[in-house]
Amino acid sequence: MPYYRAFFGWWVRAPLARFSTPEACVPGINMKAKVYVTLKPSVLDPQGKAIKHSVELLGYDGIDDVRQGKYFEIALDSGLNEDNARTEATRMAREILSNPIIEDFRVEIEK
Amino acid sequence: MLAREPRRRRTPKLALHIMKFGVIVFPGSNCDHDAYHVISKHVGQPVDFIWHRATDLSSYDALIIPGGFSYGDYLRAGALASFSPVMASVKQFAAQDKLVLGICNGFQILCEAGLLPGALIRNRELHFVCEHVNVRVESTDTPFTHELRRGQVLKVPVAHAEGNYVCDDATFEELQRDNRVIFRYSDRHGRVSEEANINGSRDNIAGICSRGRNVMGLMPHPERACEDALGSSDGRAIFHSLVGAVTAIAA
Repeated sequence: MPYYRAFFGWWVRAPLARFSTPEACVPGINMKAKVYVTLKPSVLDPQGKAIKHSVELLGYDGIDDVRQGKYFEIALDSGLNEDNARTEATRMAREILSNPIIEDFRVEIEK
Repeated sequence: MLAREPRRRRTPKLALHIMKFGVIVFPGSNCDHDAYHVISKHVGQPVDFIWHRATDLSSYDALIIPGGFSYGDYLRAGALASFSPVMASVKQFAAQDKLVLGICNGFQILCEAGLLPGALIRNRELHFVCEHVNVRVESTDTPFTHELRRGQVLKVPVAHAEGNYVCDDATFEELQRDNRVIFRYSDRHGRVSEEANINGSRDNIAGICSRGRNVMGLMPHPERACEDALGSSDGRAIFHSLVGAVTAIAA
């Protein structure tokens, strides 16, 4: 039955996946991609403005501007090498995590 | 003998041409039933709900992407919905010059999906705006507004926190040049001013259409303004225009 086949397929393949590439054989080097998404300088940031206003009310001095952004941590499969991880994370950031019309992004890979 | 009171028309006036509507339902859509009600009761055309996993849209003549909070507005409003399976089919649908109307969250989804230019960010005052506003009709050269008059002011409700339309200068100039700005926020006399701009949108833009003029997105809710009991019935003309447009193409 297809149901059983799918199950046993996974049963056999899942443990073997750990040895699929040389990198995957080395345990414990899970990488993390950190993606920072910020509004483009030309786009007005009403939330940042409100935060700046509150911060100033609390008496903090010397604040020129506050811009609010987003931060993503993506745990990556240990099978990826660093270049691949960077490519994949960048693609993800460009296609999903940021909207290129209003936002910029920056990707960092942490070992 | 007392004059007999004229019997009220129970069936909708427009039932001549059959045009099939689809209302796309995402997890978190909440204006889907309003749109369904308007199409079935006031416009008198067949209408279906389409779940966001559907991929076959071949039997529909027009799609409505309703308002709401698809996927809880996570990431960005409309972003996650624009990656759902049905949107790939919607892109093909739009490429065949069929009509797609995005209302509120639907507008955000269409922008995220790239079917309309620009983006919608947080309102200038950061508040969730929920009130009846006036919008001025800027272009009647679309399938959605040809039964309206240019300069006509419609009273329609808005309900959004991310309706602040932004786009770069090149896009803005293109929108202006091709007359693709369809609605602008105005006062009730049709004066477009900074006070009437409820959310800080660029140049008071409330609704735009695509290059092919067959995809329109707008932040106000015309489907909630189709019955006098709800405070306004100005939104009906948009849906009647839609039906007229398709029957004109078919004829």
